[in-house]
Amino acid sequence: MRYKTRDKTVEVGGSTRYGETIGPVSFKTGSYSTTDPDEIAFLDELATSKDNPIGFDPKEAKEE
Amino acid sequence: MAFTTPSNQFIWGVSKQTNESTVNTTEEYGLPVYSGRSMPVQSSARVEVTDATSLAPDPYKQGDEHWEADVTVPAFGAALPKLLVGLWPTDTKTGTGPFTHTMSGLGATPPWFTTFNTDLLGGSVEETFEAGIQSGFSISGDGTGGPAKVGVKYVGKRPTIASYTNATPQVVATDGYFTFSGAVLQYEVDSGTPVTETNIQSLTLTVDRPVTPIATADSVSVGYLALGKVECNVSMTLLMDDHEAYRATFYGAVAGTTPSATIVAGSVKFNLVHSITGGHSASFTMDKVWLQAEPPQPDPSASPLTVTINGVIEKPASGDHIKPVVINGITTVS
Repeated sequence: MRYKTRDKTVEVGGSTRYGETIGPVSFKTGSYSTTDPDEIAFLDELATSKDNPIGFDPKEAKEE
Repeated sequence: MAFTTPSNQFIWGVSKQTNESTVNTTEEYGLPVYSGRSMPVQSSARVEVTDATSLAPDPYKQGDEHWEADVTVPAFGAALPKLLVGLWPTDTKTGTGPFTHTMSGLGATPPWFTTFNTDLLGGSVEETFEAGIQSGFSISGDGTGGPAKVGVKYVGKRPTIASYTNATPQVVATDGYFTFSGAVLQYEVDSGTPVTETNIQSLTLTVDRPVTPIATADSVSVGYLALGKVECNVSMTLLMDDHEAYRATFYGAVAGTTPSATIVAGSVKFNLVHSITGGHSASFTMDKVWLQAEPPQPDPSASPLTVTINGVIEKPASGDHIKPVVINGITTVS
């Protein structure tokens, strides 16, 4: 799964629903790809939030 | 021994664990406290059986030994995100310095913490408190100024006597702190857009998540913690300047005239400033709050008329009930 942000200073860390630490995930290139299911669940939630600068990368949507 | 042991020589330490089982052996932050410490908690009972005498039965320990911390510290700029991340588990950091830490995920599964006590008896006991969950956060202030007071609570699984590495303690004079003195305090009784007000005498913001240690038949110290529901509240004492909150509470609108079942949604935002560094700040935004006013009470002493507000923080249209944002010099996410 691929995520993007316009703010290349973004770095994010948190916990999965089972309490395992995620990240920090850096967006210094503007995007981040992962296949880790824990990271995907964590980043999906941020990408759907209005209050977070991370979003889904539309390029991946086209590729799919 | 010529001198007594002073009770002020104490630093409380905290660090976030990477997972439940990996206990930290190094403090991330060492904090001077207003009050409180981490401490073992246990319970005992007597073997309640009949006996040929009138003597109370002998006691035994129950299987619920765990640890709890209820600590109040100054709102140090560097450490504040670490004291928030136990309830807002996601830290989104932006900027190139200073760094903006936007905390989110209130109610999500929290991370684990190790806490430390250093030390009430000259380093003779190094005590490590393992696998704790944050059960409370509060921040409060009033007209006396000084550091905002941050209260944090943790409940954890096991205390041990184990050595660890201290962090350099935070220092009030040189590290500075977040304060309400000079801050911008905002609320609005009936709108999601708060406006700046200057009549707040005192305020307290609290987030509580009950954490209950659960003993099992074979336990000596607990192996399980039960998480309760997160509840957010804000209370303020206002110098009385109008009846808007009072009328909204009892009459359904700021200009209401008859009893009403309507709950009026307002909003609150506290913007704390840093005592040393101008670009550093901490804000707490509550987009939807029911600001319930208590009827102001007459007083023969002619003290200033005040109104107490108990704010029930509700789920807003988007994001968390309380949205903390800390701007500081810390380059790493919490």
